[in-house]
Amino acid sequence: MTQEFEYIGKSIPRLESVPKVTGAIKFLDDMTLPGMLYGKFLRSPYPHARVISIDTSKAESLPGVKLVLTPRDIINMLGKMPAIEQNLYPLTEKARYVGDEVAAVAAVDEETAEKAIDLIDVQYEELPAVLDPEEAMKPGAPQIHEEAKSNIVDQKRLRAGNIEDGFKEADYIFEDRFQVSKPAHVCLETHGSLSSYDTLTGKLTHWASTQIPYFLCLGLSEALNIPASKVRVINAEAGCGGGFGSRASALPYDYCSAIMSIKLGKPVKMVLSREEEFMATSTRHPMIRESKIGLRKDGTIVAYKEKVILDTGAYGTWVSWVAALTLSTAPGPYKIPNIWIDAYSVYTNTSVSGAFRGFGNPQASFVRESLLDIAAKGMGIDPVEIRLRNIIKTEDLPYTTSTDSLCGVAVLRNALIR
Amino acid sequence: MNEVKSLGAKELNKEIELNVNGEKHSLSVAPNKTLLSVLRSQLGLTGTKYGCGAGECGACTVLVDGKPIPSCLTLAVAVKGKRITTIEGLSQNGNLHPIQEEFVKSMAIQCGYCTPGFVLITKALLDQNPNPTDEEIKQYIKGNICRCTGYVKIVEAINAAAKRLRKTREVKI
Repeated sequence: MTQEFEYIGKSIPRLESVPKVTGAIKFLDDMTLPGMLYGKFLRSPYPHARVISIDTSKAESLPGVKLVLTPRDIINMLGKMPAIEQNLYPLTEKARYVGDEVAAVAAVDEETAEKAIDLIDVQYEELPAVLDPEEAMKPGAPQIHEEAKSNIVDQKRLRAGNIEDGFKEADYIFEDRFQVSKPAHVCLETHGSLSSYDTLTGKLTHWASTQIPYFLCLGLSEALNIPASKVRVINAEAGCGGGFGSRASALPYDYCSAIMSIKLGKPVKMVLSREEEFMATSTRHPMIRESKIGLRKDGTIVAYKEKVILDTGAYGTWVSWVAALTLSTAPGPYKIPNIWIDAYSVYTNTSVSGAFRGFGNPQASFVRESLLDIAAKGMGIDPVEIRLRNIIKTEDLPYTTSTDSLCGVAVLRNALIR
Repeated sequence: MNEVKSLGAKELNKEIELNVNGEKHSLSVAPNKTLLSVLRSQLGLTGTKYGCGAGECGACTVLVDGKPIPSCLTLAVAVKGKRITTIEGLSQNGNLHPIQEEFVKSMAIQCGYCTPGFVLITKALLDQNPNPTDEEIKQYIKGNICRCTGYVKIVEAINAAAKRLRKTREVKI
């Protein structure tokens, strides 16, 4: 006899679906506050350039412009920037990618802010740019962050078993070089924030379409030297219009809308255009992986070795975390006793890489599975069969992989068999 | 966003009448203003969304004389006097339109940013083709992007709405 439940076994419409289907729900850009100003960025047209001078006088004299913000104006306000964003600042005197934020404007409407941006006169000294992570790793490559020792921002090693013994045991060895591209999240709602600073109480209210309201609160608090008790981050009523990891960072618009609101005592909204969204929000980390797999005649994997280069872009967010995950997920659902992986995360003069669905796992899996297909073809084994010979089985569970991930993946095996 | 900059001067404003969701509005509109901008900023109808400003994503879809158009590429002055329907005009007296109800029931809504555009493109489709095949549905909605990739549910919702509207023979909003 089947029992009828009130909720279990039923599709319950989500509460926010009705306001979403009528268009009544407010996304960030649907919000306005009394006296609200609109912010825009001046972005570097060069991948690598030093700002020699900024003349803001014409922009400032345009009617409707309330503030023109340059890096010099904020340097004394800034505290510690959050650790997840590598060396990322609200505005920069050294542009490190095309789109890097050099100045910002707050004005009575968007059109005036855009006009003011065009009126800011910036003199740049172009610097040699490095766009290829392998070039950026070489000694003598253009140094993207002066304070860093090199363009290699993070190094990780993963060792399990004994890789040399593993390859000695192998009857077949296959290796190849893989490049994984730089996809953008392309959230349908572009990124932005709306800050409102109350000069009387010293409290900052910051509306955002964010995946990380608490990180954002701490980030703003530490970066702007305001106690966290005086920073309130509120997600827009609708949440975010797609996130996929791209809204898991505090980006310059968050800081600049807050800073301009603090300076002006008025609400300031900054929402990116689609062009800016592609240019100046994060992407998935492109990777170069030189990978080598050793197998016995029966298809058992005995060794897996990779050199991984993560292109983190000009700054990068979540770099160390993505690198860690792309290592720990490298063996996937297979029993591989001997593993050796070196990973280098490298700055280049390209747009910022960051969190993106899977967080390093898709890149690792694409390469591992491609190499398994190559091995299957080379050894004349069916590609499904070669996987079944290595996959963790139900009776193995709970299984700790050689990379210390606890695995519960019997479903994967069933899916393969189907 | 996306305006022709040189035409922005206030003295060039045009006095126009826009018929939106059956209501007439007398407006002073800069000739470079898009319909999207006027709907959102001057009329406060924020259900119509900016997605790309280039007519690529369908988030800004509205109906003009029943036909779906990207309001981000349409100048407001070009649609004066025409019948404009936005997402706010679809529900009547607080009751959801059957298309809206089926989107809710089928869970064809995730982040919801593309939803107003999808609901309106569905309205345009079902007004001209009450019994579309899956293939016809997919062809018709190909200009609308859902980045949460909820297309399966969206097609389900459109099918359910089509079925229901055929039953009730309710065509007009």
